[in-house]
Amino acid sequence: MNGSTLTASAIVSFSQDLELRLATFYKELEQRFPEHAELFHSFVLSCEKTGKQVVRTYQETVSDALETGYSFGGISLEAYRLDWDLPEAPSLREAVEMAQALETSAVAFYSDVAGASESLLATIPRAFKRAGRTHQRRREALEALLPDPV
Amino acid sequence: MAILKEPIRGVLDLQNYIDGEWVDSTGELQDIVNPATMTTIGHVPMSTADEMAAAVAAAQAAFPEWRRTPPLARARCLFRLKELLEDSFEELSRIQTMEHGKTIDESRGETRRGIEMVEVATGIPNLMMGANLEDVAAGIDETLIRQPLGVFGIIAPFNFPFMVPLWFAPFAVATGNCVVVKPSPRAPLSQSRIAELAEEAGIPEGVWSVVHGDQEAASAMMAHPDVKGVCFVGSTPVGREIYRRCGATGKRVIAQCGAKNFAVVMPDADIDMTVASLMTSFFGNTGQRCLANANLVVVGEGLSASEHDAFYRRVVDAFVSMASRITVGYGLDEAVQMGPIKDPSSKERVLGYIQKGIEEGATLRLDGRTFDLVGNELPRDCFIGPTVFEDVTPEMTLAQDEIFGPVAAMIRARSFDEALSMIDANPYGNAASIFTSSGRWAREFRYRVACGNIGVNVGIAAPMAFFPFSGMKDSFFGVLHGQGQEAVRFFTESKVVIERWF
Repeated sequence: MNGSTLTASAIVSFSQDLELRLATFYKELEQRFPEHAELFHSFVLSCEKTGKQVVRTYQETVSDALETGYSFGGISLEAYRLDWDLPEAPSLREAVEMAQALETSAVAFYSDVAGASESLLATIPRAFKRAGRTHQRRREALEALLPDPV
Repeated sequence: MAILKEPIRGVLDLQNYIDGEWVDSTGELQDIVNPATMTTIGHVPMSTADEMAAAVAAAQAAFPEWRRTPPLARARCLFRLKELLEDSFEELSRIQTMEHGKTIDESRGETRRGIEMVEVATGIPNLMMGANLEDVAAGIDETLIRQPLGVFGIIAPFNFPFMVPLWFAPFAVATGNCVVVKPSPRAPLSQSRIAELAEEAGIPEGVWSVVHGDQEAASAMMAHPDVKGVCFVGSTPVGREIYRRCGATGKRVIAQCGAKNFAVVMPDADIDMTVASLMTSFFGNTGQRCLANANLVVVGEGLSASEHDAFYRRVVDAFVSMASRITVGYGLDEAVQMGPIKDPSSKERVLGYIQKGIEEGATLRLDGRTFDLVGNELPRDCFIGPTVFEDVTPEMTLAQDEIFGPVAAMIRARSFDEALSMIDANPYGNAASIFTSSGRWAREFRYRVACGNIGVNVGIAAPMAFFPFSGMKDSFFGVLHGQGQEAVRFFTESKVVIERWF
């Protein structure tokens, strides 16, 4: 790697991985916290939808004429990688705080790649911004699940 | 980063697709080699003249019924083909990377461009519509009808193995013609896969055939009296010969040929945006594309000599800096920005041009003969790094010949007019780009430059499917171009009916 410029393919693959792993994570929460299963299940579906939207946007706009190999400068994917493993028998607070951290990371990822892709067709940064807003709303919804601090 | 999964496992033995059947060829087999790994991924037959004749005969036999098929029904076949291509998007893209070497982003871009041709051709009920006018004389009406001609041949190059036949075939088939595609023997896999999908889409037997091979098959296609026209993309000498031979037998021809494209950078250009765009333009597809820019002309219009020097230095330094950081490796590695050249002999040819540039006095600023390869275990037979020459003058071989590799020539021009005179003096006329923030320079450029595809702050002036892929001078032989309405006109004859009823 040249250290600072990623290909569009690498960015989209990271997005796919992120959405897949988040969906898996929320499936686990759905099992562990049946009282909130409906909400966590909706998160699973939302992750799957976001993943599809990003890939579809990429596949429908990628072209030999776009600078797909040179547009994502200054992005380091390591900055968005977090610990995904839930501790055994987590409390709701532990689980939600971890989910919030993951969503915060996702929001930052989509915000950064949207900024980096402004020179590409408008549909590409728009798709990233939309994904970022979805994660932002989810982070806020998670906040409501947190029990009051003791 | 991990290597994406290869869709081809083992070694494929390609067959011809003639009259809706997959048939073995009696011709000799040639290896299909993945240039990144140097592994043989298939064998392609060098089909005989008789086999080409069989495909043309089947196409000619299928033509009357296909012609009578309503345009909307023909369009529905193409809608189904489009859906199947979408479903196979990733597989098709990875096949291209394996057979050609381009990066996965580039392959996906090529897949998208190809699918767009099919999409546009589905509009054939409107695109093919004629015209009429009542009362051109007393009680007389006149009608223009567009009718298909019969069988068309398509001779494809290796550098866009998936997309280029789709510049023509969907329009030919949509207008009621039948096609015989002869893919490049150097990268034939995509076209076999497309034929499988065309079969699945319900395109009737004989309407869309694929005959693999080289000169013998191509010559048989051109000589066949039932072939009404030939579409070719490749080198200028071959295109010129095809134009001559087909002209002698009255065939229609689209021959899109070689190029040596110029990018002109004016002093008011946004350098950061320009250089990013130029990377794709000069080094995309490893320089193996007819729309690639190869000569970068830094113009000093309105600047003093010292200011021109400083501007030239800024542009070239930024260019070299970015080019030197391009990652080279196997295109299925998502970290890679530039793949290999197609084969070792092509690499040798590019290396020869680098040596020639040195001998002619150009300054080798970035030497692609030494470079880091992502994936050290890969054989280096076909890899070469981005190469940049400075102090190039327009008469040098570097600036004249189509190198078809990742070699950039930096040239100075004192004025806009001098830059245009360089473009004018070059025998090719495929594409040219200008980078400027001045509408005046942009307008002058597009008005005066004799190239078929003009980019304004765009490095790759690639026309969309609904515009013609143009070309001038030694870059194009023919009258009508591929894609869009011009393709519809190429694949149809205009018939005029003048009616009076007593």
